[in-house]
Amino acid sequence: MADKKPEEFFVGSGPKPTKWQSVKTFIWNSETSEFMGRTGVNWAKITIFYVIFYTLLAGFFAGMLMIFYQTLDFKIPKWQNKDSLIGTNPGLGFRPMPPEAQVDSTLIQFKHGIKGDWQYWVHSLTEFLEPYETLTSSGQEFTNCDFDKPPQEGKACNFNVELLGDHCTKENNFGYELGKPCVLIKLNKIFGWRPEVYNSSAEVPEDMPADLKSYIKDIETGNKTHMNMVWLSCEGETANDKEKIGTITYTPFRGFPAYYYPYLNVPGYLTPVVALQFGSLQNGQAVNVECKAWANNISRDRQRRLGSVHFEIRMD
Amino acid sequence: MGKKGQDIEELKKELELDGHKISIEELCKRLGTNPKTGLTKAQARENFDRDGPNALSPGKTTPEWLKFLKNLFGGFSLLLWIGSILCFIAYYIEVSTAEVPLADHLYLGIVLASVVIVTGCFSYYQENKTSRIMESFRNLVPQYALVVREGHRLTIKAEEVAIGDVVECQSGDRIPADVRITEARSFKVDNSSLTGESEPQPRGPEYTNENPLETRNLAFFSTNAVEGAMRGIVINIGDNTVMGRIAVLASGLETGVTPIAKEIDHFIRIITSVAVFLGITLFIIAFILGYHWVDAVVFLIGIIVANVPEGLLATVTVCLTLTAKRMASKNCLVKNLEAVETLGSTSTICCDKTGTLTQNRMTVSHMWFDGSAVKADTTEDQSGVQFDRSSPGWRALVRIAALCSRAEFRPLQQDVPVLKREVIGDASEAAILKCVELCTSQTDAIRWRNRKICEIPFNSTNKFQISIHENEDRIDGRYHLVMKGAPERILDCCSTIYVNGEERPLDNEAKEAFDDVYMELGGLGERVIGFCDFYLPRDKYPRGYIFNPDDINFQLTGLRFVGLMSMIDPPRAAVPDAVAKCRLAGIKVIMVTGDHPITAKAIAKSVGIISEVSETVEDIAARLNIPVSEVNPEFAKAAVIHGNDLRDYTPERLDYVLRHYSEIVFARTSPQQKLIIVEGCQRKGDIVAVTGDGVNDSPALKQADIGVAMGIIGSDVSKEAADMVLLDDNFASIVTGVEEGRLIFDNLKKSIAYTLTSNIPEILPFLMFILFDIPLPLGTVTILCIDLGTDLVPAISLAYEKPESDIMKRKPRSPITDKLVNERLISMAYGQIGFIQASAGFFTYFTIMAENGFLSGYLFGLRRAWDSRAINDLEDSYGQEWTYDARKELEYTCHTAYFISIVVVQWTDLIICKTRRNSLFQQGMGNQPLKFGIFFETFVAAFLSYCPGTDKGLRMYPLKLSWWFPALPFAIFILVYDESRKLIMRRNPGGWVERETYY
Repeated sequence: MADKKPEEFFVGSGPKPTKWQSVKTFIWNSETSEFMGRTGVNWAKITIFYVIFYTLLAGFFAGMLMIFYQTLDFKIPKWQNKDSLIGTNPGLGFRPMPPEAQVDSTLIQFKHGIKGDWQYWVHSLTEFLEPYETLTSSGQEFTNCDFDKPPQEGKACNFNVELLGDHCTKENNFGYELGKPCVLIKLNKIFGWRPEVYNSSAEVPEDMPADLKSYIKDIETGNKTHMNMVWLSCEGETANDKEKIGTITYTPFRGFPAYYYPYLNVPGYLTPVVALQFGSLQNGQAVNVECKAWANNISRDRQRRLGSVHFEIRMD
Repeated sequence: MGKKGQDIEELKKELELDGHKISIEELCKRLGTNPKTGLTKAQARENFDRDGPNALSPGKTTPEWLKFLKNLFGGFSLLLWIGSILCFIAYYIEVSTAEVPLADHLYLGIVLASVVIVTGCFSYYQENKTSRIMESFRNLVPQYALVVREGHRLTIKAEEVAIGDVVECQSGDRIPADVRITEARSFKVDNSSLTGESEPQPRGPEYTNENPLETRNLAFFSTNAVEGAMRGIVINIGDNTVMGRIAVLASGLETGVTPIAKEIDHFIRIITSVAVFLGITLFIIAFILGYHWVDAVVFLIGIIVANVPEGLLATVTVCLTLTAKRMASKNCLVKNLEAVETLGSTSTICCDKTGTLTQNRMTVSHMWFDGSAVKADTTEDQSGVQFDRSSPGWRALVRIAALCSRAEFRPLQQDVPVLKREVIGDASEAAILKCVELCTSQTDAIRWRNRKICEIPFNSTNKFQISIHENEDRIDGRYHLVMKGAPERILDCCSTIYVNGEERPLDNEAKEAFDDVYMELGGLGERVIGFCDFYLPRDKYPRGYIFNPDDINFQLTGLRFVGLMSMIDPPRAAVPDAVAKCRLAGIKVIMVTGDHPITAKAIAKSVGIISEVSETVEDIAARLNIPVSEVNPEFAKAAVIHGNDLRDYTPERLDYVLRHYSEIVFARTSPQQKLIIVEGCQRKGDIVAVTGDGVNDSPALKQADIGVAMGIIGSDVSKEAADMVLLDDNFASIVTGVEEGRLIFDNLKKSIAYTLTSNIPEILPFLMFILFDIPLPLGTVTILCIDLGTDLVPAISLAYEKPESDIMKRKPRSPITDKLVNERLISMAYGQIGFIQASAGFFTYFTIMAENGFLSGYLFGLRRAWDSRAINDLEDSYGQEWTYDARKELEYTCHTAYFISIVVVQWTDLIICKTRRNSLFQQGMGNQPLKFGIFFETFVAAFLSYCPGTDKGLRMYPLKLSWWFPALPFAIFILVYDESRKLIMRRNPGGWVERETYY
């Protein structure tokens, strides 16, 4: 190897760049004009590729969705009752509901009297009942139904809000001002679901509250057509609540007349409601209220809120 | 580092000793001892206190619990721990605020924690096959030693031997320390563990060589005394002995992280960055969107769970294990799982000569008689050349070879093939014996017919061996003197030469012919032995003449020269092919051997490590007839470097040599030099495999990226230091290992591509959930079902995929540019296929929602009401009102359906991941485990959906049959898309598509 130093053949790599330097070079390499390892053209190409790819994919997705929607009827759900996950056991709902900001709350809280803060609840109820009133006045598509007069096919039964009683009206601020608040209870609509009502008081289950039992017995002996009803009972949830809850009046019926069912998504369909009026609510104490619906094909489960609903009410 | 690191550097240097150079008197003065009476007890005590016990000190080890903790918090574990802790926090908050706390988060937290712990234990177990190098060294150390103190012989524990002690050893003992020999009686040691020399080495008091390992007057710690007895002075003990230094070096070397571990680290870093980035971004977005911080925490959990491929590390481990098993069946026993892949990335193999490249047995390769050389058959199965066995010259040669020998076959080996029989005697005699037996198969008969009368055994001063036999020709009755030995010595004794059945005078012409042959055979690195004989005249040596071997009373001149035999340790049959394969595969094979340069070069040439056309500087010099110093080294491709030269090399010079020459042979190297060579290659950026068998190789084996020990001839220490053991000692097995290693790297890429793809359909639901307020399409539990359930078996099955092209025809992967997970893989898996999969999932989700009453548009912004327990009458697009429980059941059904649609699209993802370039139609569907994988994942998915009870435990609900199908068009889309991509790639090699999508 003579006088040539072998090291001269060795191509030196120079000092190693520091970590920060290599990061900087990665972000902007001035030698190759590369930003994050790619030149402008390179970035453009990959961007165009991904734009095309995602457009294509979105198109395919939209196409598939369109094809799928061709198979749907927008009036009738594809799966109903047992076939659908909604099942055949409706729950109950209550109105007014707390404002959207407190979406997880079921507490109806207000201060009654002239200076009270009940306006939200009244407004909410008014809004809820609006369709009922407009329908009452417009007079289209619905018929007046009764226990002996079920609706014709394709028609919806009227629900007359005037039947909700003296206090549970807009004019009376639904009793909130006077400290006798009204809460509306409704049975969940399930497409095509028909209640199987109790035909006689002998059929009612053991755990039905006594007052409802005796009420049903009275009805049975009196106006028997009124037996065609999904019954409703509302009570304080605990023994303590039961004491505090005071009197409850149910209007117009103590339940939901069965002629409103099945719900078939007929235009103008009005779900029947029961107005509960708390006549002697104690001030300053929250009361847990639980309402239950009663019929042969409704089972009640507090945990799963089947056939029942829970809310709290607190009046100051 | 610090002191320890310096020590290691110190140990890598050559051994510097002068204990053998100075006179015994000077040595005794220095050590304060007396060669006759030894140390006094007080001195021994004092020396012991000063130097410590004569034992190998245990290496520093990491405590077990620390290792366990490392495994528990390494990799993805940290992210999962965070996820798990967040779960517990969310659960705690829920317990303290909600009336009916859901245990979901508690369960999820427990599941995540268990995943981490199980994976942690798994990798701890994998890693915990702790190397027991030090223990294996300790097995070499003797228990007791015989010392002379105050003139009395004492047997003491070897540990108590002190510097300056006078020790005595006899055959069968192990040397208790490094000893300067003062007296010896035909003493021989087996130094094989230190130097690799397999033949016992004579030792005596004379100083013969500057090199401590070669001088005669030193015997080393832990080597075996095989013959005779000696007395000597202890000059070094414990860690300072030659063996101790090797042990400390081998156990102290920090082994680097394996290439695959680096790759996995790199990949974990990418995934973790993505997860942390997404997690934090969404956390902030969630706050900006006004979510409660508890919700934000829940999102964070979802993002973490979705981002981390929980099952992937297990998949990688199983894939590596499968390959390790396959390799074990091909005689490569892998000790360290990750080494499976290391072999695949290997770019340089530093290979031993003895045993690995060669058959490790001396074999006669050439014979010269009747004035011509013939090649003997050296192949393992005797398939080589034949020659005329009837010529008189041949018969004379064979007779001498058979008679003038002390070697014998061990008894009871008649059924064993000649070449495999064990022989008593030294290697060259054994070679000759086997050669004779192969050619005549009547060695015993020849010997019986020509009874031995007298014998002068071989010794290194005479360099010949003589025996005198009764003549088988009784009528003739002359005694027959046969002689073999160093050719020049033999020739000196001769005056005639036997050619074609007649004796001719040994003239200059004959001598020249002899010289030519001798040079030629020597140049081939062969050991040449000359044979001659003489029929002693009846008149001078009548029947019954008493021959005296000690005081020679017969003539030793004027003999008749018969021929030469040359022998070599021939290369294994499969090696040239294997070396060629390595070259084709871009792997540089460097030979590092203790042998002489000529022998090393000859073997290197015959196996192709030095190819036929390349020349060394010396070759060029010889060809051009100019001095070596005038040759421009640029022209030489090959180099044979002597250990003595290497000693003077600077690291830069070594780097230069390693870079410049493509074919290198290092001869006469010491263990330390082997280590330096390995380090040099590693500095160059190479992944280095090293083969070795002796104790002396253990530091190099440890330093190498993959150390390969020999299963048959290898020492225990070398096997402990190595990552892999070649069960058949055959270099060709390494090539198989390389092939498997490369295949598994490719297949791991595929496996990871497959597993990562499903991350996007796992992450997107959370994004949509947070950004567009839709009910959650896929839950954390279902994500875990994918990652730890359905994805596992198919991902593992990709390990069985056959190679797409000849993987042994490409260069080894570059550890810098060719990553296991690169941006192209991420781009494909995340950016393209992942989004198609997510579309499939969302399409299924929208389908089920719509069929149950919630049309797609209606879902946007519905989340808060949907998830509110307070709302018991949520209205859908058909006016139906859903209780909380009913819509949750719908949601979980959607989760299940989304999960199933991922399984469906993973079918085709698995199929496209089978190949990276080839079409499915080229590759075929021959991978049985993969087919099983598809059926298995489908079965698991169906089981999770339909098995009663999973609705309670996992919130997985049975699906209508029709809900399996929405994902199918997307599965086909994936197949068509990827086949087209690969088609374009094949049509247009090196084009944009390849540059952007070939991972």
